Amino acid sequence: MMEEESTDEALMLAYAGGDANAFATLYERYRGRLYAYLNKLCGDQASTDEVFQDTWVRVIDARMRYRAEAPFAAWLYRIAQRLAIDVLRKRRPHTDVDEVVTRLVANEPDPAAMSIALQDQQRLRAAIAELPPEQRSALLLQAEGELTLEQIAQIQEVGRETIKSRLRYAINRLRVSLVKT
Amino acid sequence: MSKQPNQPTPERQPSPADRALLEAIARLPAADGPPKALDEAILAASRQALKRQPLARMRPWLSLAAAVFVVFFATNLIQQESARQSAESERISVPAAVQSEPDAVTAETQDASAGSAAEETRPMAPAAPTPSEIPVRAKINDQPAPADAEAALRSSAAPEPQPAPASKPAKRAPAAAPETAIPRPRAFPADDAPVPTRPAAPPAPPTLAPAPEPAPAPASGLVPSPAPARERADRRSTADAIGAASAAGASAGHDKAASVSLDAADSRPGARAVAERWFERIREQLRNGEPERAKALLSQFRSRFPDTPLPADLRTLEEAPR
Repeated sequence: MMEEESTDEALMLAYAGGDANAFATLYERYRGRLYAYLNKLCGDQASTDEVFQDTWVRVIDARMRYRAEAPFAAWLYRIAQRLAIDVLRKRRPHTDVDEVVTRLVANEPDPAAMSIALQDQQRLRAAIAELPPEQRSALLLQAEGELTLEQIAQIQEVGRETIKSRLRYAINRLRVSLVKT
Repeated sequence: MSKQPNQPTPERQPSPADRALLEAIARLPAADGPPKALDEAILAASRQALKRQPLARMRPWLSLAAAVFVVFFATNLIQQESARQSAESERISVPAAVQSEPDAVTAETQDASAGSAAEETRPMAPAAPTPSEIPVRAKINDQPAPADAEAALRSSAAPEPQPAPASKPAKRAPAAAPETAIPRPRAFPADDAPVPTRPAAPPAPPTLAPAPEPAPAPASGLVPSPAPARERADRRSTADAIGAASAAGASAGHDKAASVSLDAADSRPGARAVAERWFERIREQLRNGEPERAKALLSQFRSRFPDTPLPADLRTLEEAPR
């Protein structure tokens, strides 16, 4: 019960001190959000699973070095983003939106039954996947509505102005992509 | 020009279109969460990691144990040091009579423990070879002399924890400052009677006495050593060097104090026996063909025992022209 009310930082320190339940509580708090973020960032489940697991393994390994100077969320997302961007960079640098849409539609068992909304979602996904990784990550972090510009700046280890710029570029590119498709 | 380079741009509210786009992104369906197997694997890894770090969990206790050990060790050292100091001060406060009861007895003890090398060189130290050492010397010289007298001297200068009656000069007593609180158990007056106060107790080394010759080094000369002549010469030169050094560092005040203590000894019941030892040593010098050393020794004796009558044979020596 105590652990449910504890801050993320206190839980992480408790885990570093040997409390396994503290980690379980922390994991429960972030598993859904982080997985969703990674899923949208990476675009496919295999990469998402891989990055998600690696992120938590890094957290576990770094528990003794953790200092509660920065919010735990920022630290967690920074690890996740680095790993995700590494994965994304190993892929083709840019994915053609049309290709993605074609692939997504082709994967549907019955394209005729797809709703317009679903098509829009797929188009949006494809457009997001076309963004450079840093812009994509910044956009997803803001779109999730849980992190402020300052926190995103902490995660990406850049200035606040850089984050604003990345977000602006990301939105503009999304618009262009969506209009094209 | 009007805009500062690092000044943050004013916060721009996202346009309705941008907001709609961001909301659409947020509403994008994502997987409900990681697969159950992934959850279990991560949680298992977290528990496993804790099992691997028993040492890390014990770190505070290890630190505490280390601190306790250090404190214990330091306390032990301090206790040992204070015990040593108290033993030393106890030794100082022991009456001189007890400390310097017959030299022969103490010398026998030292012969057994310290070895002949240290004994051989100790009287050459600035701590004053006096006639009281005659029996000691006689015993010592029955044994082979050390090859390196200076080394033995150095070793003999080291302090000993046990309050030996005829202990060596204390480590902290510099050669040029014999008036230190550390007693010189081999000092002549201490042989016979207790010295009431500490400053009076340490006798002056013979080299500090107003001798006509600088640093006569009677220690080596006084002893009829059966050792080879070369060794004797070595010891003598060492003694000369040490005697000269102590004579150079001696102060007038120290001489005075030593003289006072010797005069006091002269008036005590055992003074006669002490004087006899002086006489015997002087005679020994004469027998060894060392009249100058005998005279120097006699001069020292006279400076310390101005009122003690000399035997006839030594009286002639005293009256003889130099």
